[in-house]
Amino acid sequence: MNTAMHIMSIQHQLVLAIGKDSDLKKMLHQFLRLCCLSLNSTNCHVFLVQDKNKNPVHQKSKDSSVKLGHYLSFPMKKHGLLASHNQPLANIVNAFFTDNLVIDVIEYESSLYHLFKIGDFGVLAIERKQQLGEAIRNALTPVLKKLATSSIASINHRSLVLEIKTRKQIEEKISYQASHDFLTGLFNRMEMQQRIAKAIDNCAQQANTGAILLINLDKFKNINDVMGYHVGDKVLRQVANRLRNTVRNLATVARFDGHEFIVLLKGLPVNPLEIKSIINGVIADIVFAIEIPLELSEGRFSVSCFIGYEVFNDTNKSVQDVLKNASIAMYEAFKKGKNKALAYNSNMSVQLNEHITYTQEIKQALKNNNFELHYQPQYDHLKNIVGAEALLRWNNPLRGYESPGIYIPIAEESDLIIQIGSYVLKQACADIKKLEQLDLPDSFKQISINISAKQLAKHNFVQTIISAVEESQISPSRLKIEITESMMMGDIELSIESLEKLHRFGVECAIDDFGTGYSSLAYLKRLPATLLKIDRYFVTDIHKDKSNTAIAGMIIELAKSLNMTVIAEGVEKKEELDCLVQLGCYHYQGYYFSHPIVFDKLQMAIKLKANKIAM
Amino acid sequence: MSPASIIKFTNSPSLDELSKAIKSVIEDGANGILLLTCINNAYDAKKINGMLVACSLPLCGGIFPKIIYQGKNYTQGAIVIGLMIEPEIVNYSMINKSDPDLKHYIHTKSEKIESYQDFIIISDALCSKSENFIDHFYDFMGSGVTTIGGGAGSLDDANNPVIFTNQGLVRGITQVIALPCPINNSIGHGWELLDGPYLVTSSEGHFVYSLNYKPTFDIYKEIIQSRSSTPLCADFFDTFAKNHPLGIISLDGEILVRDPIQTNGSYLECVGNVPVNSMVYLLQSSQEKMIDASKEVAQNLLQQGPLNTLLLFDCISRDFFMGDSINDELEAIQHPFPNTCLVGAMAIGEIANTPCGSIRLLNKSTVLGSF
Repeated sequence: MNTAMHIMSIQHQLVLAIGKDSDLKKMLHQFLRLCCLSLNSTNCHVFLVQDKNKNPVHQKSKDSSVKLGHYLSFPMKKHGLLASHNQPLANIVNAFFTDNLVIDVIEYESSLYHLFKIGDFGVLAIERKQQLGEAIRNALTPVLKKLATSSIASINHRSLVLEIKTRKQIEEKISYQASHDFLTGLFNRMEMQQRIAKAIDNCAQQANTGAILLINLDKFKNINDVMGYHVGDKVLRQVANRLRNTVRNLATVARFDGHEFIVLLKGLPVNPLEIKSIINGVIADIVFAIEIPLELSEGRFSVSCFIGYEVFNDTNKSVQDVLKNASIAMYEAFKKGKNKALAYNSNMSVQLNEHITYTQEIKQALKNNNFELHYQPQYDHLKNIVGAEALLRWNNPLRGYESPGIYIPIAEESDLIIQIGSYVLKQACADIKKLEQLDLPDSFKQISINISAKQLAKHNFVQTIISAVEESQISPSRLKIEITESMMMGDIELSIESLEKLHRFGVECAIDDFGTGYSSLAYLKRLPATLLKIDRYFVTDIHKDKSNTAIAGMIIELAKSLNMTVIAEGVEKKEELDCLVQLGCYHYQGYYFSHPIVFDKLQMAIKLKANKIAM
Repeated sequence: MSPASIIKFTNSPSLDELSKAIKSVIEDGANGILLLTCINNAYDAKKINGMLVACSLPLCGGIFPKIIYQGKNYTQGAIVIGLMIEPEIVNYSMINKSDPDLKHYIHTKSEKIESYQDFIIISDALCSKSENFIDHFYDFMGSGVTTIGGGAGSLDDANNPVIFTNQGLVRGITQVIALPCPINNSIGHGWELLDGPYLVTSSEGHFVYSLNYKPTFDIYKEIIQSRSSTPLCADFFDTFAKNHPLGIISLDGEILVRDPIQTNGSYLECVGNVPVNSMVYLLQSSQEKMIDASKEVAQNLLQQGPLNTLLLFDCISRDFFMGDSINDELEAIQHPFPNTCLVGAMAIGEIANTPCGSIRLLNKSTVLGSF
């Protein structure tokens, strides 16, 4: 046998395996496998210097006590024991590495370990039953050099790949974050807008139709307010999942804003009837999915939704047009009640524009002092004026007096109601100041003003009232505030606290429209209110309607038991008055006594009464 | 030591006879069944599958060109080995996977035999990836395991299912039968160096494209011609290839035989891989040398300790080489074991762990095991 050629052949086989793969583990596996075959070894192992994450490193360590870790073996086991668990082998290898030898042969438990240094960062251990001859050992030296060089290249390559991979992951993460909502994992508004833009373009090119559904969760704010934002977030996540599962493969879902979601449907047919049928199907599925109560660790929650949608099939509408129209339709659906869905139509825009114009006019009216306070006097059974309710009137330069029923709900949708409330408070205080300068009869107690829910909910509500009273230098007892039952239900504890503060300051409180709300009688007892106003609904024709008589009677009894005064609103007929007297109600307000009048007339009426009493 | 296996033999190709033999070993209390049958039996696929699926015991084995029973070979018939120890059988069907996937596949699939150290491996000889599987299996199981086995199948290249499983007769798989008892083995071949070495300058798996930078076939023909007094005829390869295989020599002098089975006039295709850059030799042998080698194999096994079941995988190409004298070889192997029945198969490629420990696919060799 030609030994020299044989050795050369082995050298070449081994060298050929080196650098075949840029992945260090794969390359070394191939090398070790060939080592085993060509060198007739039982097991071959590589030990390398490794970092704390067990990644191989090739830098020469300054620390002489550095330990090599097991990196790879072929085969992986010997007599069933994993080479990586073979501590005696690790000790032999590390002793060799520390001694700074290049080649050594060590006998251990009937095996001969042929140890070769790989650069200054590793060791190759070849396990054989017979010793390798000197010639073959020497022939392996250049192979080991090549192995070291290739290993360094692989380690560097791996670092580079890792760096690129990490960078790619970061880029993907940034890209994901830029296009997804962090809370729900759905697409975010920006991404959805881009997708809508594409869908609009595609519609034009492919002659089909698209639609967006804007979905708002009804009364979601209550969950946040009552249970906290962490529960609200859970609800949003579950709703997002349900939406995703409901429209899976059919549409794209995004979280648009807060508790608003948007669904994009693409590739719809052109026929309007078919479109409507498809969209109605999707809406029904969505409403069904959202309505199923949500089971959270904090409890069971039910949410409903209202939906507005807009269809597009050409590029005449921009993304913003489509979104705006869906939003208008959603607002209209909201007005219709829960689980309603409406398609956008141009009348909605007309109405909305009118609404916006009207809002602008209210603003202008506030600026131009077009609002006035009229007062409806309140009487006792002896026809003494006991007080008056301030009522806001808008003298529109173009249309004359507007009905409060129109502009108050519109003002309540925005912060205009706060500005109007502020005007009412200041004007009422100024008028009270003027009244205090008159010789008021003892029977006249106070002027009452209506407070809106938004005013009551404001953190500085109490201070605003106190400041107005103090700045006007009036007696707090001359001002009464009227609130409705339902207003307080938003945050009953805060309402009670505010009203108690005002009570301590001297400003009394009346419960307006009593009997129409949903007050808890338990809360009513805790309210520092001194007056109950029976709603006109129960007063009208009270003498004819037995059930109204019964309800009014109960309210009067309730007021007595709570030590509150009771006043009937909307008294228009003598018969109604007589009936109320019989029931024990001695304070009244209504056309039977007086229509709302301007302040000057109120002054005159009070003066007149005072003079009559003096005479 | 495991108790003796229950062995039933029939020289009939009948499926009924096979069925009777299986029932018999089950009744005798076997815990597993190893079947060795002949390709010439030509069992009806539907019937045999029904029988295999209905078998209540773990079942394994293969269909071979010939079977061996008590020092004789048979071209038809069946041997049913009722194993008294319960084997754990794993059928590796997805052996054509890429290396990383195959590694993962073997890790996952081998969980229940991971703690075993003794295996019989039967592979579908027509599956070209068998050797790669064996390498990966060895990598996973490690050194120190003992293995015997061989390739099942037909020499006429028919792509029929040849491996017995409890799911029926299947093709293209490698079957590993883990035994909960020690297996002793002994291997040999009797081939010697004739000419060489030659550097394998181009090869891929089984295909050897060039030696010393020349087409393998040309070199092969040159060597044979230099040793022949008459000009070689066109179909010399069919005559000479069985007498002159290639051999790869290990550092310790062991010859790994690679049997050239066909050529296209340029390359040689061998049974088993021939790595590029390896050194190969042309080998030669004689009936006497081969029988002597087989005697040595038997003696070697005898010295390893007591035995109950003797299982032989002898290469079918030895049969071609020796002709009628093959029975002399088989008798020579049976001879040292007068009280133990020699059973086995003529295989297409043999499988065993070499003295250094690695499991290899062998050619033109004798693998004798006992358990």
